[in-house]
Amino acid sequence: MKPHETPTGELHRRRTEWLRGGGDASDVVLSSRVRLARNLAGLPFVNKATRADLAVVLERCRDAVLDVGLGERTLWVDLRESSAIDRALLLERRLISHTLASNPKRHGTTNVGDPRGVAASIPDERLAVMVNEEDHLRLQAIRCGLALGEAHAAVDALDDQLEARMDFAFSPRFGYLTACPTNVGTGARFSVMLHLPALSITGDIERVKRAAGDMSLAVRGFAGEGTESVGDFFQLSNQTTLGRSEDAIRDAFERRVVPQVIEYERQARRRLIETRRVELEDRVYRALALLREARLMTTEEAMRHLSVVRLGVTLGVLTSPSLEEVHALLLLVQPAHLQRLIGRAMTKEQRRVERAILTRSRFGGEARDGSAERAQG
Amino acid sequence: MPERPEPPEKCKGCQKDKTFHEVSIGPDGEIVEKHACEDCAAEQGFAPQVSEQPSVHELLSSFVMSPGPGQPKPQSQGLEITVRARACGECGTTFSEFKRAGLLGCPACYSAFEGQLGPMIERAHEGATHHVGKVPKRALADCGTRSDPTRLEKLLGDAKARAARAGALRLQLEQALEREEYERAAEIRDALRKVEGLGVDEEREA
Repeated sequence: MKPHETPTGELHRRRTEWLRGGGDASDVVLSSRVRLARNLAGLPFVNKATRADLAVVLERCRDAVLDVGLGERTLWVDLRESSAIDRALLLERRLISHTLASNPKRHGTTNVGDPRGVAASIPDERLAVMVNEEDHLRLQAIRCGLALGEAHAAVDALDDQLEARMDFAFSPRFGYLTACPTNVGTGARFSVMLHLPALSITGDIERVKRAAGDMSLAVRGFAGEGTESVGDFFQLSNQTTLGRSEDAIRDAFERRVVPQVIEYERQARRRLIETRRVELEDRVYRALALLREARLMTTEEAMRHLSVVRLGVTLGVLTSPSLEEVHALLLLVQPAHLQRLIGRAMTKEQRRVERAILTRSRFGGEARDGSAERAQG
Repeated sequence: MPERPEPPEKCKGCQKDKTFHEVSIGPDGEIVEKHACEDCAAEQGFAPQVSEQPSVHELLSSFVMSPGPGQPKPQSQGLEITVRARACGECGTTFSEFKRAGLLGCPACYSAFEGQLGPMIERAHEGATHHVGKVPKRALADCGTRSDPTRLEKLLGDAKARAARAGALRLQLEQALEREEYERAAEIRDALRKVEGLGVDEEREA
């Protein structure tokens, strides 16, 4: 077995692939992700499985994943034993889903500490495997920018390596069998995380959302399924998984749909610069001023301002910070990351104070002052 | 052209084929049936609008079935009861359980409920009926080639399914060559040879 590590202690200090910045079309596309749903043959799906079944699945999958190895090192987190803050941290880094983090009650059973876990490649977090989510296995590969082909090749290779070690549930008619029939077939979801602030400002975003719906695409928020968009970050993904090959699904998505959305956003940005430059600059500098001076800041507010600053950076309105710095902050302002960074558990109110201190210090404002000290008690 | 009410084939309003059938049991135990074409069914509220991309939960929330090609239209009487009585032999999940949760219990549920699931899956996947994508690589290699047709059929399907797969592979091959992805093209060519080597429907008929 290749070396692996268990603690998530230093995770928050590392950059994560999906917010690394760079890559193709990085002015609009934060990252590309390909996820495959797989189940072990001969065992009930997670929702119908007993805890003993789940324990068998967990052990088999963990052994296979650690045997294959996901990167330089493989992080393995047994989520039965993890703290709430660890789970929140993994969720904020998009290594696990809400379902896996919260372990909602399964049909007809109790759910306390159901066997489930996650593996990730360290240090890049480009590959991750969730065990006992809705399906036994959810394999994901992430790349910054628009790079679905590369991400697909990586997750496809991992799929082969795991399948060499275990039998997956498969039928000639329906393909890879999944707990929910909406994922059956290839079991593959191709998605991109897009930053569409200009389309939001011009109001065209609703048209894009409708068009995406007409093309059987799902539009989701920053944190994935079931979340609203915050800071004009949208996740766009394919809905249908049956009847076309993985390549055909990816091709249609990456070569036809995504470039069109990117072009709409770029056009909107150009229009803003050409026709509403002062208004745009005003928005950007107000956001910057709040990040530099505010004394209290919620996660949502921080993300909203960072989104506007990101727009300013990509349009050359601002020469600093860099995109990388904006991305690093998008992650650090999240509740679990902030608490890890500060090194203690905090209430919501304490987090608002510390978050403001963080953004002030990063944007050249006064880092700490008497009022912040007092508020901390 | 007025039709007899039982069982009419054409929709009352527009004379299109009736493709949507809903059978439910009313509060007093009476059977309520609705039959209409897709558009009228959507108008009357018992089929979701196509443009709204219904989720599987929505599809399942009312018992709506559209018979697939070559399948008999659902029998109108006692449908709900028949369906409820059926359970997966492996995990015991019943169809109504699936309807409630939106999740199947185990891989065997797909064959246990194939008749009901087929049309639903077809609607959820823009009319697709068969998988034409990746096949587990090691499992396929384990089967060898012609030596074990039964095991191979478990992965690649019967002659008809293989014909669909071969068609999809040829398309992929063309695309890979267009993009000058020769390594990928070679992989697809090998997969195509494997499928065609086993015989596809087109060849048998020719």
